[in-house]
Amino acid sequence: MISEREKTKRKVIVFAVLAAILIVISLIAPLIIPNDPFETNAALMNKGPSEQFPLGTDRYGRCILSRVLMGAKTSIFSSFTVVAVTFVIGLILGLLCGYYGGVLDGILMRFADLMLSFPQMVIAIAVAGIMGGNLVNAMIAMGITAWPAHARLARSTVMKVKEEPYIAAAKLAGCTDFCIMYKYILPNVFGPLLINATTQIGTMMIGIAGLSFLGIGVIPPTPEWGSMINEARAYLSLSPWAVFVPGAAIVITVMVFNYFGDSLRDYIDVNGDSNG
Amino acid sequence: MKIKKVLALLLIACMLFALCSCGKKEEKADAHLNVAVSFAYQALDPHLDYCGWNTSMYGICESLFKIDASSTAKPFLLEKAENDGTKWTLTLKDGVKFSNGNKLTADMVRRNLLRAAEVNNRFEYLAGFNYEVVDEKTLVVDTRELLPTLPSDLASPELGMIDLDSTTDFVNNPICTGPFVPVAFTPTGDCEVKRNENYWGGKVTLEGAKFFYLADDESKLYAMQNGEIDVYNSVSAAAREVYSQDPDTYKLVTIPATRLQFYCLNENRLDDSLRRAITLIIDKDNLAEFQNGTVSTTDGPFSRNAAYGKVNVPKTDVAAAKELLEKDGYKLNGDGYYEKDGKVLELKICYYQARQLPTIATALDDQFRKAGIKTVLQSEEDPDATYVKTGDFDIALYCMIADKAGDPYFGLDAMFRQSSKWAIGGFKSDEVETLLDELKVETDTAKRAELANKIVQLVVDEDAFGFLGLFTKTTVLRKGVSGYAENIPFDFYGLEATSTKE
Repeated sequence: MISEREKTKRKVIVFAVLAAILIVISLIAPLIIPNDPFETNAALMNKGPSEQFPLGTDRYGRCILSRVLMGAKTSIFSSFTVVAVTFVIGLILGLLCGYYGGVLDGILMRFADLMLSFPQMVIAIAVAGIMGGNLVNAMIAMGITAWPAHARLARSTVMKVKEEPYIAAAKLAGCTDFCIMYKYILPNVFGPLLINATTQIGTMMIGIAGLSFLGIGVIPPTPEWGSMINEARAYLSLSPWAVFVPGAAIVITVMVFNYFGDSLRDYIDVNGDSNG
Repeated sequence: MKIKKVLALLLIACMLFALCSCGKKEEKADAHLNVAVSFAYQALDPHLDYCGWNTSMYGICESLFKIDASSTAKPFLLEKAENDGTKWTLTLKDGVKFSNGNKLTADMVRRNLLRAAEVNNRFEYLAGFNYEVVDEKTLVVDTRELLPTLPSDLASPELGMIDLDSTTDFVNNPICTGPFVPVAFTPTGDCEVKRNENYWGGKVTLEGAKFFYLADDESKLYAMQNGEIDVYNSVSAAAREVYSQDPDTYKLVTIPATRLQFYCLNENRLDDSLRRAITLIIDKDNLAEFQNGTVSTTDGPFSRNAAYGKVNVPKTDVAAAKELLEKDGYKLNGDGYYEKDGKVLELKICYYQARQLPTIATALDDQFRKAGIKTVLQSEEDPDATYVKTGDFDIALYCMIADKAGDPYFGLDAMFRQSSKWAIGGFKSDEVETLLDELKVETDTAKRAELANKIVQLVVDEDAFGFLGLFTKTTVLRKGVSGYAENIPFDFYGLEATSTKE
């Protein structure tokens, strides 16, 4: 009989491997693409899957498989970057606010409340629209709306942890504030925050693809899943594969990263319970 | 039980009768047309801004002249227009009246032209003319200097006639001469019209029509497919392909038109040989292929068939372009791109999300990449407020109607004058300026064509502008629908007295 802990551990391993495969594919994409993803050819517009183009061609006669593979790099790494940066910013702000409290906490958290009170995508569209359409601006737009969630979680976890007796003991032992935050608080809040960040990757991917779909993300002809769907939607009834393939890529990748985050959380919860 | 059965049978009979009635009603062609339009304006007042385009399309307003299928401005509300030097004698047709029954008089025409001059800066010049009302039907216009293009100017939808005395709501309900009158209008939105019972031009076939503002090509396609609309023009390349696969349901009408796709090369940033290399790299035929028959390639701003469309342009020759670049000191780097003094040759191509310019930009990107030139594509929402204003481009893509009514002056004046917005691209030629001045007042058609060809040749020889394609006007009509100006190459015409829906 496999224990609950073992089950969740297996889940974590399976999804970690799947996520790793996706990352590796995106890294080696330039080496494995069957055709030039930028090569246009009017004679090959909207062609169905064939030996030369296993997933068909788009309205410019470009190889969809090659573009989806190259798009993986853009989609996955832009999401990773935004999540990593907002995670670090949120963590630092949350640590400072939770530990010190006071005016800084009041101002920053009210600002975070303000950001959270608007739908994330609406702010992102406004920011990307004002700054102009390109991938960096789309990432900044998504980042502006993503950090408050990390900061709020970090702050509440720090506030709980800082009341623990070992923090008081560290203070009595003469540890500096930085030392306490780095050595005693950070290790305790890092786990839950990391899980939260992992589950954010999928959301971020959809967000960036959404902005690109709206034409305020990547600049053409850079391959990116959202912009590929946007470019192909007019031809949905003629060449559905040009929409379905990048669409399926988004669904699969988001599902893998979401399941990975969920299984990681379940694993830590089970571990926490059994340790407790 | 029997009573129940009888009742049930009666009920079924009633339902069948009701259904039959519905069918009969539809067969009677319920004479209401549903149309999609790509632009919506703030008012129905034709004199304002570009509002006249839609007011004309809605069949509400009419101008003194109308452009026909051969792109010639013909008297419409006028019986005749006689020209003697700077003097034009305009004689109104008998019986032209507004939808309220009031007659259109020569004085009302004069007041309309002056009002348009007052509220629309594109028609300010009309205020400089001298107007003399001879009688109720005759107006003499003295343009003070020769103006052979007056008929096509007066065909502009912005110069539609309104009953200025009776109209109280210019935004929602201008009283005009067209076959239809407004019923409901939403600024920058939809518009509903009904038949003008007093139409001066005879019987109006349709009872009414509703115009839906649908900017998105896919929305129009889906609305057409599910039967919500019956007709629209400016059909996209993708939608054209879809409709052409179902000829039993849709009728596609494609005619040559005059909306021009062109580019401006920034002379302030690109030297002579680089501009020539760009001209040699661009493959117009390839760009047209990606647009699925919605454009035809062109050498100059006008159709090759027109007398004023004869110009010699260099043929695509990538090898010659590369030679030019290499002669200029550029060398291919390891990535396959040309560079000079360690700086990679990179071109900024600006465009906007309409008129298939994104398709051109994407195809150009690949053409330049293959020739060893890196590009950065920059899409802007409003070209006039961004790259056309700031000049921050190497190649600016744009689209405009170059040939308004079978005459080259309008397009050439708008593009090549030193005072035009395109002067931002650095093209300045005194010779072109002089030729444009000559063209403005030249009355001989053959000489006008000769002057126009000279002007365009000078521009082409300097590689200041390049002319990619002329849009065909494609209208899709549901089977049984006809008469939506599908044979006139301008998209500011639409609903007519003869528009029908079977």
